[in-house]
Amino acid sequence: MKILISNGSTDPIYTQIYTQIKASIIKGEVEQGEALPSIRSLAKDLHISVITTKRAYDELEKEGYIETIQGKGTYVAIQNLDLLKEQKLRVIEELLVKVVNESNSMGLRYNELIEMLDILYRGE
Amino acid sequence: MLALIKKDFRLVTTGKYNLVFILSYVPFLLMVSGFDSRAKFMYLVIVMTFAYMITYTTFSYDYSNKTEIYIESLPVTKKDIVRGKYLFSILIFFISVFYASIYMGIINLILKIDFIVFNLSVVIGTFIIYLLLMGVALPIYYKLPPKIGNFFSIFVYVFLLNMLTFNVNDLDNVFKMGVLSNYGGIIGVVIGIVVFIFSSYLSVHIYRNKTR
Amino acid sequence: MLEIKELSKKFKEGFSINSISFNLEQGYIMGFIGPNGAGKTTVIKLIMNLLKKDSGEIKIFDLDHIEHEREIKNRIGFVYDESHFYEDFTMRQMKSMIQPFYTKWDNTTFEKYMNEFQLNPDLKIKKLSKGMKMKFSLALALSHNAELIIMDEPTSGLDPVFRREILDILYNIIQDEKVGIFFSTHITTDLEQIADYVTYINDGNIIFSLSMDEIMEKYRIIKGGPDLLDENLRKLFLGIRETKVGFEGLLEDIENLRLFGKEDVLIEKPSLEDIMYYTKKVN
Repeated sequence: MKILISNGSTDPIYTQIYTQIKASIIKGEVEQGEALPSIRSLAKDLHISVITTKRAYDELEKEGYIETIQGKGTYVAIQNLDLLKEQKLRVIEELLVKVVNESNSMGLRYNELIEMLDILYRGE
Repeated sequence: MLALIKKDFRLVTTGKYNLVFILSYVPFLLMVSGFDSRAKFMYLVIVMTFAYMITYTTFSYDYSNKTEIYIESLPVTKKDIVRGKYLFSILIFFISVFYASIYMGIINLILKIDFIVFNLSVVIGTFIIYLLLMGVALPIYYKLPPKIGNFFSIFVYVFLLNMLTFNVNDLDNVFKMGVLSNYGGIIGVVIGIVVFIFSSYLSVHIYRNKTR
Repeated sequence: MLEIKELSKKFKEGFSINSISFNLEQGYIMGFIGPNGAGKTTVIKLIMNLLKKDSGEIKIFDLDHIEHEREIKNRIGFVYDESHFYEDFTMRQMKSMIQPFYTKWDNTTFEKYMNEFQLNPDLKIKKLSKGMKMKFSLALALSHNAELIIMDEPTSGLDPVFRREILDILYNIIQDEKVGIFFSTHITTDLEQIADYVTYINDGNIIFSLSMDEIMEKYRIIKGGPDLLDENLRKLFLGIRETKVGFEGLLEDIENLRLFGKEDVLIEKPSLEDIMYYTKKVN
């Protein structure tokens, strides 16, 4: 797993870590169930504060990407791909509800909606 | 406190200069006195100056190496530090007694002379004078800057060494003074100890309020 | 682990520590910064009871620092900036002197550090370079199972290579989350790499005591053209440096960034040095 911190960027460091680890997990660069470095050893390797690494890990854990087992360490969460899928489906569902509501309020018919979706899906 | 006493002990026994001093001090004094029979109270002088010098050396080492602040950061209170020093000076006195006896014993044997007076009343008398001397000297070291402490020391040495030339009868009379010799000198010892303890409280107070 | 509450001390010469407060929890490193003469060494001496405080509360390991002085110091590893050892002694002799004072002395650890630092214990202390003396101090401080390490300017006077080495050592120590480290320095670049918290003191007053994250998110350096500033904008800055070719200033509240709108400015994260420099200008 590769994590590179840019000091020049105004992105908070914890965000940079969060983003890079998340990307690694999604891309499959780290396996499910694989152990991640402890917050302290990561802080040492990156030469940053342990508070920062903890914050990044907390964010990742909140979103289900990683999990910490007391006394053992931090691991890439298993089944998180399913969780991801579920989350993404939920987001899409919510957006679709909005689309349906908007269509109804302006009187857009189902056929016209499907036509629009078709065009957008195939990518213009 | 034991660790503090051990520390002072190591301070004065480590290094060749210290050992050379310890070995050569008695012969040196003997030479200074000229092996004179008047030097009847040589014993008192050896013990007093030796114990005084050793105690004083622990102060000067701490000062010149600037270790005071480090010692204070160890698990000891300032009270411990001062009391440790007072106990050390007592310990050194008894070691001095031992040191002088052995050394003079050897010299008496070798030179087949017996010119030193060494009996219990002399030891007790010396002890009393030592307690009074240290009772005054120690707070001075804590209160005043070392340069002045040095000056005071020189004054003490000169006085003590002069005792080598005192008329034997004078010293005899001093020791026979009521206070010192009644009941085998016990009153004198008690007074000496009281002064010494009072002095330690004074020193603790001085040391605690020192700003560096 | 270290709690300072309204600590005050007045000196005859006029300098005073004015009711300062800050905390450090175990598992973290706190850097104590401030310009020379700000009071860093004084505060450390007050914590260690080397100087008598006038008022305030100092608690270490939840114990009052005077009532439990011996017990606390037994658990503190202390490192000074200058050598306060007996110069004629060898390191081994010095160690033998110190060892009996601590109940939890661990000789194996001591030898491990002496090895790691490449120090020959039979060398006399007067023969050591400044960096070696510092490493020796650290070896002593780390060899009695101390839970709190307090250091007064441990890296001043050391070359950058040594400084990095010391920082690496600190990194390794802090892997144990039961240990806390508090060190004062005026070399802020050292801190940026390692500190979890930074407490900034100036003229006997605490300017701030925040986590590194909070500091980096709170302050920004704005750089822009010389004609950009008007009275309103100038007021926003904690400190500004203006030249013929532009200005550079420290902004305290990141919210104010939006007031610069679409102006052609550079926005950068400040270094601790920037923060110290600009806040000093205000005072």
